[in-house]
Amino acid sequence: MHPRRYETLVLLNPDMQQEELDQVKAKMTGIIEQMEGHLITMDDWGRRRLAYPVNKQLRGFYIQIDYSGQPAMMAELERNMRIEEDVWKYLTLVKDKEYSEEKYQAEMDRLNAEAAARRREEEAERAAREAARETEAGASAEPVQATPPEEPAEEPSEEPIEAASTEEPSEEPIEAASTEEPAGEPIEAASTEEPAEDDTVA
Amino acid sequence: MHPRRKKRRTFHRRKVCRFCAEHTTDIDYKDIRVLRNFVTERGKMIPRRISGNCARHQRRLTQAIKRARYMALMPYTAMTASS
Repeated sequence: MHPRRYETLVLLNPDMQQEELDQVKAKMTGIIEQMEGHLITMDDWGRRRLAYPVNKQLRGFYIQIDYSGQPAMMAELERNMRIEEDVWKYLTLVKDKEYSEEKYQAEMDRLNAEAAARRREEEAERAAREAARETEAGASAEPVQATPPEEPAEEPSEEPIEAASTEEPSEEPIEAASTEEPAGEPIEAASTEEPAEDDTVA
Repeated sequence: MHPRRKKRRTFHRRKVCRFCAEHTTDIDYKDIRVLRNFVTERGKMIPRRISGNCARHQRRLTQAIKRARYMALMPYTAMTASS
């Protein structure tokens, strides 16, 4: 049977401890590895405000997992998520029914390339800003424009869990990208820039 | 056949489907920023005759919104000031 490409979004208890969270994530990656699947991305969205109360709570912790494997593996993942108390909701989608090693390689290459390109851009921006500051420092006494924060502001309080960085599968020699660089641009735009939306309406 | 023709004419919005125009590949349930444009203030989905979407994209949109709602990314119903 062809391996299939899946994407699962998990909604977990935001008040979990870091170790518990790590355990859950480890269990999932364990299943993927054991059943000969590939983990493509595991991206923590972090805590977000929910559109409606879930389990009497107004906030939740989201994780997005992209992976490939056999349907049995996916079933096992879901079975485990169902058992886990701290997993409140999950949604699994099949992204591709006929995934292959080549596709996997191609996707990993693409993701690495994107991440590398983004990092280069950031470096270039920082360098440009430095250069600009140099010239300004000599010219005027204007206050230097603060480096715009790359990370969207997370709430200062409540941190049993820290949003982990993007993890790539172990066989790929990738440097860990920062939290706001998940695989796939549309997701990044939607989620990481709006950690705590303040509008209550849809 | 029709003894009484109603005078009201269904007015046609010539609006183009936003997704067709932009050749968007994917309507993603995770992309609530986009999705929110097609939902009323109360959280209800906007009908195609208002939004101007083509049938195909409206269906995908509906599916995406329903998924987003399930995962608590979007509300099923949003409270108004009066409620």
